Amino acid sequence: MTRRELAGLVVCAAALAWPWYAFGEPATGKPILIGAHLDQAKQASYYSLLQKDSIDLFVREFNGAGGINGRPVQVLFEDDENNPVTTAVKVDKLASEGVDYIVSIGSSATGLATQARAGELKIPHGAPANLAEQLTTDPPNRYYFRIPLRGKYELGAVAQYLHKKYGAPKLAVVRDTTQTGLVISDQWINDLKKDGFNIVALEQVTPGSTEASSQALRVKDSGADVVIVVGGSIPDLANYIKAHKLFENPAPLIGNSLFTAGGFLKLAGNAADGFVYPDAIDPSRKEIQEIDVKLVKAYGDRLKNQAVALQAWEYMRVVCDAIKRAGSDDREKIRDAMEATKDFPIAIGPPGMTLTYSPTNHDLFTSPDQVVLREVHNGEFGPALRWR
Amino acid sequence: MTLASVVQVLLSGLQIGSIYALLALSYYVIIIATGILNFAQGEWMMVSGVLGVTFLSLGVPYPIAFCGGIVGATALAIAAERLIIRPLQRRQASEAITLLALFGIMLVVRYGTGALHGRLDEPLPGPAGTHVFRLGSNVFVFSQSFVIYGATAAIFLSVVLWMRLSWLGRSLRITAIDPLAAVLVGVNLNTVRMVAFGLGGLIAAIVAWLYAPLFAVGYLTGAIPGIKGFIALFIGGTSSPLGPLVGGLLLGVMEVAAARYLPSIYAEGIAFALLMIILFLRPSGLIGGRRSQ
Repeated sequence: MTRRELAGLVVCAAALAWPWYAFGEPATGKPILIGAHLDQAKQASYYSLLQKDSIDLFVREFNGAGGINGRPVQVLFEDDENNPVTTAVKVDKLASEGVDYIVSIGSSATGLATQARAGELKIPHGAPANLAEQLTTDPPNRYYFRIPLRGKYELGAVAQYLHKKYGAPKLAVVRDTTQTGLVISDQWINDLKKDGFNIVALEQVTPGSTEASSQALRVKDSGADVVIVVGGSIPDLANYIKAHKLFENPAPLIGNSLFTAGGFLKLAGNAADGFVYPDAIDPSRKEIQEIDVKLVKAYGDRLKNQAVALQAWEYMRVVCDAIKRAGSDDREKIRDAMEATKDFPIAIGPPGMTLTYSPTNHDLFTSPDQVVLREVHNGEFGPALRWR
Repeated sequence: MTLASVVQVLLSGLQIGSIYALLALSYYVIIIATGILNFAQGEWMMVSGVLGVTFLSLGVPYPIAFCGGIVGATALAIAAERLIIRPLQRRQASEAITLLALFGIMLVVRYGTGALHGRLDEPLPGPAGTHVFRLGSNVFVFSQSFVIYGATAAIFLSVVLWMRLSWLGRSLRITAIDPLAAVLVGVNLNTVRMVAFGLGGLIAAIVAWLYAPLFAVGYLTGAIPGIKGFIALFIGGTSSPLGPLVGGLLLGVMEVAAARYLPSIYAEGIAFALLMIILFLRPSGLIGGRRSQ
């Protein structure tokens, strides 16, 4: 190779390695402040921190490409300690620091506290991944906007799937005893009963136990056709799934969307194969793959295929677009711009999904038909099931 | 109730009961020598597992990761005694202040580990792999279970022999009976206290390698087994090492049996119900009550 060829190669490599956003003018003006509260160290921290990493990277890239009309976005993070009371205090602090918007990336319980306090302070706010159904009210909270998969539609999609695939199956429900596990499972049980399903067993995994043979045998004895596994403590539920397979129970397993975060695949191993769960993400979408590549490049496999991280990225895109359209730091104008979001292409949900808010709807998901169902296959979260 | 289901309940109950018994033993060696209920025992277990996972992820060979995890957690237990508990005792701190300090250590270790290592639960490979032995269509036992049963027997036997035969072990027992008399016969209470904290930490650190391969390792892993070990100690009593053993195994078997023969939503309450009944009938625990008679 000649010296000239080598120089050409170096120039080409440098050009390829150069971040695409560097072609835009980096933002330099007075920053636009967005507040975010998260659980830094407690039970909700594993998904809080995934979202924080995603937001950090999004902001870096967004500011590198020019920010909002030349002004950079700056996110002020506050630890809510997974405590609603602390959260309300942190919302006050963020308000006094002059944030234009507040993003909740902690638990749903702290999200509810933010909704109450930020609503009083008239600060637009919302969440990328809080599942709790109570966060959506009728009529919607004037200042609250969200994009997560809602518990109601997640369950609705599972109910449709059960009817379509199994007719009227007898169900067993297995849950853990965390607060999340109890709240979500109670909602599932009530709604499944309303949908006409016969629940023949309800089992609870003893927290911190080394296996769940008793629960698996009781479920097997119950003769359930399908087993619903819901909750938030992944190690406990993974133990149930292992025992279920060891006792060769042929009943298929269906879970909730929280299984996508928390090391489920590593803990359940081969036993997870065939496990079906609802998700906000269709991994076959090109936009999702592009964000995923960026997150993995920046943080490694820890952020690979993490639904909450992908949702946080998309939520920031929605918020920044609204602030840009508002053309001002005025919180009321930003709120109005959020509500005026219409046909915004979004990478969450099935292909072609767009986001439209209105005075009567502040949610992305408005029907079970928008929910993606996926199946664990060969130790990986598999592609979206085509079952409708 | 079939024979197979009873066998499975016993195998599973003794498995988790052994974990509770060992953690109860780790509380026991500290409480008899110092009168201190060390809340942080579950955290030493967690630290040992987290260190192990970290070493293994760095490509360290299994035996070195195993020893490194145990040594690291034990060293932390000793450091907590030397740097926090001993200075407090020297300043004549009340029992309440000491307990508060231990509670603080527990929180700092727990959430500090979460901040440093991350919050995701991870699997820790067991020394005996993940084989499953089937003893019938509805009875199975893991290879790791045999490691748990064997290690529990070996650790209890070692502690009993050590307390009976070694000078340090006898010092521990004498201190438990009468600290003043122990000082008069030449026992150094500082040494005894450090040995008790170190031994308690060592037992808890070993438990991580028995427990985590069947569950997971994360910064919250020590919380629930730590509480159950504490309950097991008071169910069995603190008059001899037999107390933690009986308390732990009974609690484990009762929990699993309740989950098998009653709706499992009641199983979690069993531990606390059992504790209340036993404390009511035998305030010094099952073994303590009998021995005191």
